[in-house]
Amino acid sequence: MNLYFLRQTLLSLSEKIPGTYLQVLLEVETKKLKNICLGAERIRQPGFENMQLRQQRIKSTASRRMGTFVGVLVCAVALLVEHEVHADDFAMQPFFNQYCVRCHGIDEQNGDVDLHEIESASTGNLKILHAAMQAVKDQRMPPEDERQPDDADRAKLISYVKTQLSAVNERPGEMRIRKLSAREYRNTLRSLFGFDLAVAVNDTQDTRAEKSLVLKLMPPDPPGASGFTNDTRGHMMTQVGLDRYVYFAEAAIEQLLKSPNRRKQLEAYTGSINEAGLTGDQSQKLIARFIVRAWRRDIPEDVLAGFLTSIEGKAGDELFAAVASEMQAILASPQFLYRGTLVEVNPGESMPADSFELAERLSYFLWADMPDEELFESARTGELSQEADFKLQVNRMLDSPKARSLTEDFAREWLKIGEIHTVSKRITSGNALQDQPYEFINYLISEDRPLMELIDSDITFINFHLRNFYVAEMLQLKEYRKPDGIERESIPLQKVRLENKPGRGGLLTMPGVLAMNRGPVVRGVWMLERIVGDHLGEPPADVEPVKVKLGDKRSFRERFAEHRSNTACAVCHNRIDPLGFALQAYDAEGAYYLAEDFATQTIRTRKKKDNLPSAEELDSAGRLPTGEQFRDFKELKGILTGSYRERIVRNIVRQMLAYALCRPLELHDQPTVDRLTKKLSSPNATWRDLIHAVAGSLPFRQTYFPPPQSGATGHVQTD
Amino acid sequence: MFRPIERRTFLKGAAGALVPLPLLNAMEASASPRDQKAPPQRFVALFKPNGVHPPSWNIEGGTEFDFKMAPMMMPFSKHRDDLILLDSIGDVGFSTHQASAQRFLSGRYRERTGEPGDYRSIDQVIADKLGKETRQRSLELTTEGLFKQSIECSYISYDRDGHPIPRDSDPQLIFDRLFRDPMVSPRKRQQRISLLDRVAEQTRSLDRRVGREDRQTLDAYLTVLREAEVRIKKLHDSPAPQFDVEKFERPALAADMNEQVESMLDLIVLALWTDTTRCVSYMLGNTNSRLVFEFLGVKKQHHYLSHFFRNFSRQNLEDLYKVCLWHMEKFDYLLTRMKAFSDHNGSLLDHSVVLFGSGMGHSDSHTGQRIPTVLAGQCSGKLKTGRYLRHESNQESQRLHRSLLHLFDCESESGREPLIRGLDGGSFDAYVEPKFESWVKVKNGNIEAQGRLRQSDDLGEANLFFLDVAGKTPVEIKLSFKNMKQFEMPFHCGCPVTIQGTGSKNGDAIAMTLMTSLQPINGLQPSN
Repeated sequence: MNLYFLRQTLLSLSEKIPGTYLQVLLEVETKKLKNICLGAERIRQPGFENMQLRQQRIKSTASRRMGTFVGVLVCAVALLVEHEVHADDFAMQPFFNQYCVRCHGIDEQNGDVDLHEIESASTGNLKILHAAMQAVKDQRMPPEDERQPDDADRAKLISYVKTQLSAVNERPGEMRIRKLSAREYRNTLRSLFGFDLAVAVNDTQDTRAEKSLVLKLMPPDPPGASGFTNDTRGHMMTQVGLDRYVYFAEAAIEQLLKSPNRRKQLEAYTGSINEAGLTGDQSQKLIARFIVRAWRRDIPEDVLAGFLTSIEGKAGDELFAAVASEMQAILASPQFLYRGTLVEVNPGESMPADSFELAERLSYFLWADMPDEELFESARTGELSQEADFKLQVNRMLDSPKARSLTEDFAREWLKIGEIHTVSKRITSGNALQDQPYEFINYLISEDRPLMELIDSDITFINFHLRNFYVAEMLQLKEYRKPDGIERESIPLQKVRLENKPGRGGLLTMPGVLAMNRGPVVRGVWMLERIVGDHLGEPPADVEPVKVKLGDKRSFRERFAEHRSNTACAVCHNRIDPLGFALQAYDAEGAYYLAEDFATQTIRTRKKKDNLPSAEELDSAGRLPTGEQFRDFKELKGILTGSYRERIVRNIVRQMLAYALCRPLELHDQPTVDRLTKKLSSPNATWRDLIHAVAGSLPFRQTYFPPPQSGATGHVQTD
Repeated sequence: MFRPIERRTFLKGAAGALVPLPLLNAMEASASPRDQKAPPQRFVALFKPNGVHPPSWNIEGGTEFDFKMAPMMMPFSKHRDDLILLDSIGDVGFSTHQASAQRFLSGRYRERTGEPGDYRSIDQVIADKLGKETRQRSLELTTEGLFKQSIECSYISYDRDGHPIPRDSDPQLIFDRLFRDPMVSPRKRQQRISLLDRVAEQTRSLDRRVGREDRQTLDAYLTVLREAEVRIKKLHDSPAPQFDVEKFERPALAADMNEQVESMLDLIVLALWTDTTRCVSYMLGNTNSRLVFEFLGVKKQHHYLSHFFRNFSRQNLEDLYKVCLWHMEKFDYLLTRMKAFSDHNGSLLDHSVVLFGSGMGHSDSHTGQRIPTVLAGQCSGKLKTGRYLRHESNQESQRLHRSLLHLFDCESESGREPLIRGLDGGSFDAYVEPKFESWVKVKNGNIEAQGRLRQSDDLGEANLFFLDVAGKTPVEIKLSFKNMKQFEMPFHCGCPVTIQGTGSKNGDAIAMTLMTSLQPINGLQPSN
């Protein structure tokens, strides 16, 4: 959850709801949060490496506070009455009264869901209704030991809610300005100047150092409500932030203008520079080109003129100082640091995004970076708005190495795989484990593989540091000899075809992915949330965690079976456990250690063959809440790519759409998600099909500004 | 602002040309930035990774004033009169890399430095005392990235809770923080104020374009700009800085590690001289550094080379010498620069203590004794330099730490360890080597001799050794590398031995080219 988002929501609520109670709460909570944020910022001082303990402490304080904050939010939402959508007269409330309100009503609000008075389906309630419908549809609710509605009643509720939902019109989200995330800022600055601001540090094969000055000094962005760090709407400028932005600008400008090594990059703006140095004309050219690129669109003459007056008639050091200060002003302005400040606006109606805005949306989606010259040119000429040209641009951009950000930003944050390297103490194997899913996902996108190959594929990427996991495939690697006198070396991964693949294939069975989630429950939760796209609430506070009692001889699995006998637990664990226990054949390091498969020589573990458990002992079998049964993970994979395909595709669509739009999805995005899911659920749909579909979707292509409010409160203060 | 002389200092440029500092002696009267009666004292700790190669580092048979600096010390031998060569620091028999980095400034156990529950390394204890008077409390510096597998290898400075203190490695970044911040630079303040105005103007131009939430965002932007301006304007009321920081040249982008380290050393000296800070710790690498010194033509990792028995080859040994000599040259560089700056009635070095060394002795066997330790500078007369101190018994590193804290009047926090005797020139129990006779006999090309074996001063020839014989020209021993390895020559360096072999005699010069026997007088063999 995002602090800024919460604060923002509270702010908007406080204006809608009269009374001081919320205002007071808001002030108190904001102050506390601010302190927490400050703390988090302090520990991110330059070079403050590996102070994980402290960070954890602060994080946990933050999440405790967040709990309170969410509580406040829930109260606030409950107070809020929005415009109503009139319902048909299906007797929904009696249905809820009969089956639901005992646990989701006045006395108890399990999962923070209250259904006792929901007959008027407001847009706020639609989300709850949607979740309730989904639970009833999956037969998760009511719980098994409660009274069950008959099939006809279930069907009525489902169709009723679907009708309500379909009444929501597809429209783009409200356009908001948003700050470049730290990574976007780093990339943009690099593209703008043609070089990276680097930290002078000597990194060896087995050390780690942040080599980007920007990432070293900028506090990392918290993930937004969408779960992605590019969801920065509502992020405010801070003193520390401003100081840093000015510093980066100064450092980059000084290098560009003064360093002999940067001559080429400077001449890209000015044309060739002779002995005498920068001339007045060249300076003007520099500013004119620079501002257009930095602000990512053509600039009116009168605005440009404001940046040129101070350099007129100057030469030598004076000229340098004037040019530098103009460039600094360009880079410290919101026009550069925020996206969308200059977008063409027509309040109150949806309109196609103007072509520069579209170019920018595309480049930050595919590259997490500013548009390049070709994309700018295509926006300038209007070609980008032609469907065929747009497609060509998307394909061109996906072929660029910059598209790797789809892997290392989008997939990393979606699948939460950025910390895999920490599972091994050795940096060399940690790097290999970390790079494996990156290389794999990058391959799926760059070679336009079917979506479902994420779950099952014959291709993987390995090097010698992964030899314990991929014995047979080692033979496919080019021969490698560690150079003399080099004790440790990180080496790139190579693409291999899995030869005989019990236990491997696809993302879920990569050793690093398995090792980052230890234990069946954590693995199950990860798979459910990240892959299947099911969302779990917080576990109820009044349930005892599963503990091993002295003398308890039962297996972990058996103890969890008991845990599930508690209805409150079963709601989630019926969904989690089958997935998690299906991975029992993999140990904590991600090694596959099933006795039956030992003969195939595709595995090697430290354990002796005799000690390996058999399939029966491990018992990876399970039954999904939807009824499908499987004997082991291989069969589960079959279900995931078969009857679960649509769910998984829906999740992938939702994740990528939220990343592309840099915001959480709203109800009015539901039709988009539905359409894309339908389109991409065919077995042949590929990753590039998905990217094209997202880039072509209505919320991505259109802009919407709310009509100006009468008596709007805020106005920009002036000094 | 009192500025009697144009005080232009130079840092090393990218081209590698060293621009000499102006004759600072002329600035004596104003050298110390504040009108202080006594000069401030400074503390610098310079850490050398991966121990040393004892055959080339140890001083054998020397006494307090009569000693011969070891071959590896040649790069800084010109500073002999400013040094105390401490040859008895050590405690346990064996030192891991982790313990070696922690020991350097924190003793064997980190909490030994001070009170129970106080885990500060001594540079931090000193910084707590001296740092109140300077703008920058202290600097913690390094050249290398973090060794994540065991982070203790990457830190020598620890705070009160025992948390390692983050290090910086980029000279430009530190220079900007020290000398380019609006806090110290009036010109920067001026620039910043006009920049803030310009940006506010740009921000306000967006007024009409955006919705309500966006307006709040932009309002906040303007508030930040305004607050920044207020903050900077307040600085006008603060006392003017004593140094014209505009005249300091920013370090150039370093082309290699050598330039980076020299820029950093320049910066350290500048920060000390301007009294921006008084306490610096600097690691030339992690304690188990696997840096590859390509600019020296060395292609193997330092840690690999430092295990010179395990990974013995002629090339490896020569490469190791190159790497270690480079470390020594940087120590020399620091001392030379500190002497170039005058301070009160002497040089900057005269009013400082530089602790140079490592956390382990022998880099291959990881011994925790005879840990390389050199003190430079007199700390305003509190240390008596130009001497070689080898105590009768091991001096635990905590003793050294207490002695250093004593110099900076941090004694109340220095624990119960006794001081090391003799640092101030007072008496101490010196190590006395058992007496042995030395002689040489040559007959028909057969050579028999007894005396102290030592490495050649010229480390360019790794297979050249000498046997010192009282009153005679040393016997030169130049063997094939196979022959040299057969008798584990480096192991016996520094010890009295009896040798047999063949060679030639030319006047007084005796040269052995083949060794047939080597017997140590103390009986110690590598396998022991």
